Amino acid sequence: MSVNEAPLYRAPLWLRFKGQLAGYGFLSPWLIGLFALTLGPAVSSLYLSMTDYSLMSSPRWVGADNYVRIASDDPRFRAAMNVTFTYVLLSVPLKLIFALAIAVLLNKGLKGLNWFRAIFYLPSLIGGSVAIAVLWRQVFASDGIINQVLMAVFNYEGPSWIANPNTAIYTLVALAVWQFGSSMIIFLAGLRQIPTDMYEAASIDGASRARQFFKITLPLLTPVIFFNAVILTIDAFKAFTPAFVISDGSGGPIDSTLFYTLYLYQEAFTNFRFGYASALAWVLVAIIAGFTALAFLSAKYWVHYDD
Amino acid sequence: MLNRRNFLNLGLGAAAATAMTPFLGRAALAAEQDMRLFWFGSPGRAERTMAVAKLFEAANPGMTILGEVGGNDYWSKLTTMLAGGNAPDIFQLEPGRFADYAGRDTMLPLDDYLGSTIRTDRLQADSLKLGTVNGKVAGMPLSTNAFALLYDTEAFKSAGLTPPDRNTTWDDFATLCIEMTKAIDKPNVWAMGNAARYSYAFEPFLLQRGRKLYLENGQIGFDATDAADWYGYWESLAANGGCVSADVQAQDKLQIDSNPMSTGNAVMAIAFSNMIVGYQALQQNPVGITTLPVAEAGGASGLFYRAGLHFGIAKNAADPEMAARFLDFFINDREAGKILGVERGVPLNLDVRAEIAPSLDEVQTLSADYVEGIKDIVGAFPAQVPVGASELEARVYRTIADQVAFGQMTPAEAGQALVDQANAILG
Repeated sequence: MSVNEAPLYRAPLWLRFKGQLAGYGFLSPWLIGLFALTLGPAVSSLYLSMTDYSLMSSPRWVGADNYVRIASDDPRFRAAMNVTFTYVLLSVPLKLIFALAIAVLLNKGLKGLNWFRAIFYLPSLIGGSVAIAVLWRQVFASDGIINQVLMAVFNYEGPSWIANPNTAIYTLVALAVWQFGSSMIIFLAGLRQIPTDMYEAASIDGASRARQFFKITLPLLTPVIFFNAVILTIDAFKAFTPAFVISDGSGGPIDSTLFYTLYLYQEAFTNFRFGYASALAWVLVAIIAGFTALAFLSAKYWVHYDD
Repeated sequence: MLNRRNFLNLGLGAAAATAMTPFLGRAALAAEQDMRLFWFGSPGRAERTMAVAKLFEAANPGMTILGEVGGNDYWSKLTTMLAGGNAPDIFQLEPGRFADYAGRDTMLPLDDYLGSTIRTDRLQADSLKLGTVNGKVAGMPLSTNAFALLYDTEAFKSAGLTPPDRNTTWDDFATLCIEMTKAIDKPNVWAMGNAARYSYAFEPFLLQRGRKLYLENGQIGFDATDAADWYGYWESLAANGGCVSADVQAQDKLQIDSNPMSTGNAVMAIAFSNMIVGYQALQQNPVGITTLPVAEAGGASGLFYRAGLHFGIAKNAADPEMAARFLDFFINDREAGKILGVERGVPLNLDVRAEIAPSLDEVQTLSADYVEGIKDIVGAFPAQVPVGASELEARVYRTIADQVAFGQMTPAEAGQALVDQANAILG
């Protein structure tokens, strides 16, 4: 039977659809979720972002006014951008380095590897929780553990890291870096994929351990690094809980922990500017999309796929 | 006479009655009704509130009150519920945000119920003013209290100092604070918190100099010089060791348990008179209560009777009449009054106030006596705080005071910044 031969019988459209019905049926939880819970609110938020909507009154169309104000006349937006970019640009690279370093150590065939993996992963499981943010507040308080150690070891009386506007953001960066577990697990999986014969060949050729790391491990790991970097960046832009809990929703002291999402939340739920908050949300979407696009564009210059 | 036919009829009747029972049951069910009540506050407040709700349920068969307690998230939750059209039938508000919600038309005006469903004849004079916005009673004040200075009585005894009184000026108070800190002589403990960031401490300061926090027209009633004087006072007090350092103050979230007095960093606090109950619960030593320092001895006290808290009825409440009855019960019923005590402030109903006086414990008596004792020196109730005041409260007062405390701004700059930002927000 030749390939070009037309089929003898073609089922009518409804019958063919009927065959696919089961497929759609299985997809339906996701489809319903997408349309009812994600797309619907997203579309209405896009509409609201062009309105003046203070909750009780019905939305009033203002066109691009909200976006114009964000761009030109909102000092707290600039403060929030400052805080958020500091957080993203510090926490993401630090977390990547930390996760990779621990993953490389664990990959050395340590005894009890499973235990260590579980222990190092633990902060990621509980790290996003309110309890940990509360704990963090204690650790970095003026009489917290950090200062007690500083006092005992260096006889240095540290400030209240959390309450000081100059240091508060770094405690949040530290909290983020501490939750390196899930990136570490992904790195570990990536390290396992690298064929051991490459290292054998390299060491026969006399390459040092450091050289092996930079010439074999890192290049072969770039797809994993890329993946982790994109995920972590998106997550960092969306971070909310730590700042909310540590500053009790104020973003203080003096707006020094005013994450973008926290500012958005305040505008909506404290100041009743739902229209403006929606506009802020879309600006964040644009920023995250921009960063992700940039990452993908840059990928062809540094991400190495071996196929 | 019972013959077979009668017997049969009786039997049928009984059968019919039995058959009817489920319908009767259903009829009773139809009269059953839920009412949602939403408030914020301590577990102690929740116990008292639910106990009153139970009493109300007992007096109104078929009625069930579903209580919900909010925490830090109370205002966002309330806002979301109002926006989503599923607001609780009755919700609690506080004076600082009252007009924000009333001005946004979320509550049912109570004027139609006042004097009938909600009895007002025994309420303290002018009470209803505390709930009036734009000429309408938007919500029911539940109690009254006043600004007060709370202090650790033992700290004063062991320092050999006299607590402030009616004639203590702000300057006297500064001297007192500096001496107190010296007398305590412990690291990280001062006489006072830095009250620069509390609008409720700023307000009496303004009233004493003939100014106001807010005017009737919704604008601020002070200028940059007033604000600069205020920030300057606290800056110099902090510099001389009379009040806590910037990073200690920055940790205060405007709650009883985060106030420097409660965290052990200070021995005095400016608060509301009803809060003595909450403060005492966190203190080892007996807490005393007195009036705030004044601009000049014998001059205006800066105090006034304010609403402790309000209950508002949601605009779309299912049964406003029933909700109004609950408000009446909450305010005017003696048994309810006994349960509530003065935890939300002193009762507005004078009969209830007299009735509960003997049953109050020592701390509550202090609070009630303080409110009674200032009756000759209180001023008139000032204008309701305007729409947007909660944003000022949450974002501006605190931030600017912290900027001064951390040395990022001079008091003069801060005074100007406060006026500018307040004008921008209040429009």
